[in-house]
Amino acid sequence: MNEEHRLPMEDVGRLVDLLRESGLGEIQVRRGDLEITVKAGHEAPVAQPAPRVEAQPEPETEDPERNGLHAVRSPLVGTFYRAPAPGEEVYVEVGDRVEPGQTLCIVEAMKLMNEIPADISGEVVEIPVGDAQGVEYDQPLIYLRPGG
Amino acid sequence: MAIFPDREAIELLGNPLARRVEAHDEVGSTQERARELARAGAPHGTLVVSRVQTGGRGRLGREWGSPPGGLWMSLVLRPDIELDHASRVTLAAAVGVAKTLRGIGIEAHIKWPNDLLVGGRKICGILAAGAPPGRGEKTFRPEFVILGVGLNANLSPSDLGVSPETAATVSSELGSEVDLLGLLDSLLSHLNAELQRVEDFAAVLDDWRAFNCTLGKRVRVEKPGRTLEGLALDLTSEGALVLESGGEVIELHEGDVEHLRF
Repeated sequence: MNEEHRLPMEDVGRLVDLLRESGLGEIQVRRGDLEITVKAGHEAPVAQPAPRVEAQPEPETEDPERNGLHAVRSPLVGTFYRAPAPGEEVYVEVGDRVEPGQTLCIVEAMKLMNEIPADISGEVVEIPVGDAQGVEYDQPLIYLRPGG
Repeated sequence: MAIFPDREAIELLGNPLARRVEAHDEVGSTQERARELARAGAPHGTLVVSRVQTGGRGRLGREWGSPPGGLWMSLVLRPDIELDHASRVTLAAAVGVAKTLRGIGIEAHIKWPNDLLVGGRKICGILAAGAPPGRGEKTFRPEFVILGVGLNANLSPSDLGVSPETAATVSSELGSEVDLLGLLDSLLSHLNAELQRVEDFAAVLDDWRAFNCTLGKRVRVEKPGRTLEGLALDLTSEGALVLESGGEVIELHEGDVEHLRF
């Protein structure tokens, strides 16, 4: 490998140390064409016994996925709908148990109503998007607690 | 009134989009029936038509009048495209319907994204529903797409229970009824040709632009919870509407578009 293209691992190591000591979330340095970014990772969640369904404690963090929840994400840009049509029953409510393949919601783009299915079995814990709101690619639509 | 074609006659057309046909005298909704068939494994090119729909629906469950004389149909498609390209199907279908109507002498225009208008009056509506597979990757292919087309054929606008200023029909434009089987044959052929080239979407969009009546106009777009007004500038490469509104340029992926006359 050409000397120019070798990764300066010593420098990266120093940056990682600096990141830890500083408590910052991210450090970025640039030298010529080389740019190095180091980001603070998340601590692995501590294993806990499965929580009971009722009387949920407040989540420990604001990121539901760090609390063991599974995000069903939007595969495209569009508008999120909870029901097949206005006034009709919603596909799912918080607390419902769902199976893989079960339709959870719709994302519409250019008059194509895309049914979005559950990809795992579990319980609907949170629906972070309001009905008829615009959603971006990969945005979490429904959080499931895996299991069942 | 022209006779409504039966299953054998439609299958004899040999059209790739009518490999399997269900022709009903009356059905709740061709879209729902096609969805049932798709879920049960119906192949690409399964066609459901009905002389009458008792519960025809448009976008967001809006009632869609479907008396005798119309071409009310839904197709089961199993397109080989990524889900984030699946909405190309609805714009491609609009181009196919526009070519069908122009082929019989009706100067139809497309209102974004896929309504067909004649002189500002709606003659055909298109709606699609896609079902992605249950266990997908981040990008994945829809298991099937149900493409619904409601074409006002041998009807008078009053049959639809709407004002003649808002609806147009094939027979009222031509001054005579058309053979529904021939119209269906032409429609399926044009739809098939457009669907075959969704991977070459720029070419479909060129035709869309040639037939459209939205771009360059001031429009009002009703979206749930808000209304936007602005100038329709162009389409993105995926067919989203680019709107200039209040000094901002916005991309729209859905919404009801009204053309403003000033």
